[in-house]
Amino acid sequence: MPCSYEVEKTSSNKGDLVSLTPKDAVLFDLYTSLAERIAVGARMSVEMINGAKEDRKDVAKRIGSIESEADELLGQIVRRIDDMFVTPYDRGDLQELANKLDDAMDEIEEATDLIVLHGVDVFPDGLIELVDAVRRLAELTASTMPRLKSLKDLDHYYSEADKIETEGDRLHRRITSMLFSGNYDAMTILRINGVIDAFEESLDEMARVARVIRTIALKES
Amino acid sequence: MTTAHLLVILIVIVALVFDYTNGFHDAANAIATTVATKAVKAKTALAIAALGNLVGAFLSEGVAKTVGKGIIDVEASNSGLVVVMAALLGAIAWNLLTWWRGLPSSSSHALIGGLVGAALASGELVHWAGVIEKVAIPMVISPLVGISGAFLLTLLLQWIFRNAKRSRVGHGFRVTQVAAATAMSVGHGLQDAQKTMGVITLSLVVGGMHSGDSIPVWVKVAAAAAISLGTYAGGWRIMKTLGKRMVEIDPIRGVASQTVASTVLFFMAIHLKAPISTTHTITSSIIGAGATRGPKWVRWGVVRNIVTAWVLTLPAAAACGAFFYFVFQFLGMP
Repeated sequence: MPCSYEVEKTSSNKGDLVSLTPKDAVLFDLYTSLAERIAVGARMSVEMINGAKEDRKDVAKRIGSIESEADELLGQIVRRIDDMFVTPYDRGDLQELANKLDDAMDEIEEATDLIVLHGVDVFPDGLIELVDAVRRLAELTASTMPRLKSLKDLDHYYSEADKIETEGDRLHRRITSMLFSGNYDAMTILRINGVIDAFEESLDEMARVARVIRTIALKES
Repeated sequence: MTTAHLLVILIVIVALVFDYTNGFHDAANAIATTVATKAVKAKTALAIAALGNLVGAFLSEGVAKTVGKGIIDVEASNSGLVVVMAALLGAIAWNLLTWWRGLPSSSSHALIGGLVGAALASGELVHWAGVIEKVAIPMVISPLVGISGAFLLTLLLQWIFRNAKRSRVGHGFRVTQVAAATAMSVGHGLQDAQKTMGVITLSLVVGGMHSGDSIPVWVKVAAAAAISLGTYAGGWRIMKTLGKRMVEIDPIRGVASQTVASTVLFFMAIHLKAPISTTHTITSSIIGAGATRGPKWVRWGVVRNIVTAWVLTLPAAAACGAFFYFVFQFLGMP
């Protein structure tokens, strides 16, 4: 297994100002870990699209185990929030944030699993760009998550997340219109459609993550 | 029946109505916090508020004595009764005017303002030292202590319970909250019921029907019953709209604001014997508890209202009190 997928060790205490109200460090670390799983999964998706056909099954399996790790993290976050007496931010917003992160991971897992299950072997133009957009937004989300605690310097993240999501929408439409151009048979269209829909949906979920963070920041500023 | 009797009866009725509406208006403050945090059912919170007011009314006489003796000195005569009547009408008029025009006010300040205004107009003695020490200074201090105290206590509790589990401390906190809510209702009765007792006793002394500085038992019972009933009636009305226009408040903020508010109400009533605005004390504590989330969570409109009421209510209610005195004089009343 390539070592580039190793999750970077991050400390949520780095660069934090002393906070007036208590902010549970463990909870914020869990969010960062969850976001990092998505980034790992997205990087693996890029590898799958660019790599050899015979490796795909193996990559899909690894993404599947990353997805289980994400589920486990989601469970930990939800239980933690549920039992916290003092939550750093609105309880509902925190739940929503964790759910959206997990949804994004699920979509990536679904897309790559479909590639293997359906035996998709023709990748239309634009798919590589779409998956790369997923990777970029996932990495952006993961590198932003440590700032959930301070809620500082997030403006660039909001605009960038929005930009990548719009880009993904355009790519999705471009691929769809190409599929319908008459050069593909019906079965191929159906197979690829499920894949690109799932990738596009993962971008949407990550854009929702950005919106939840924005809501939190607006309430707390 | 003499004119004095008639005047005293009128004053007693008007004062009790004033007391009832006070409870009616303030019921929201007394129960909203407890209900909003889901510590107890609305009905239970209402019962606690009504009973707390009743108990508070009997707990001390300090505020009643300040209102009755410490603000103005009126000669025991029919003309003295007219002064008290004018003061009460002035306070009510100013309350109605501010309510009608949507201006911020405080019934407590209005009452003191009315007394001072009517006394000045009639040339009776005003205890300026008492007005400054027992009214003006406490009136500014109480909301300041409310805001900063609740702010600090909220932070302190948040740090103490930062690792607490909801499943473990949730129940204990609900019990604490019921205790804090009860204390606040007692503090409310302690303050506001006594203001009415003070006015009634003042009229009894001026009317020559009572002497000494004790508060007659029937006056206590009447004032306590009026504020308690008012709270209960007002609460019923408010309970129907609860849930919709609810303030967002968690158990820690609920406990912090109510503890600080009741402490201020108790300290001012029992130790300083100072009549302070219960509304200002309670709302400023809620503001302080919410302010730990950041300046956006401070309801600046309410802060402005409190400051405006500080500046405006005393002189305006005094003018109203004086106005009614002159009207009575014009009508040829003694």
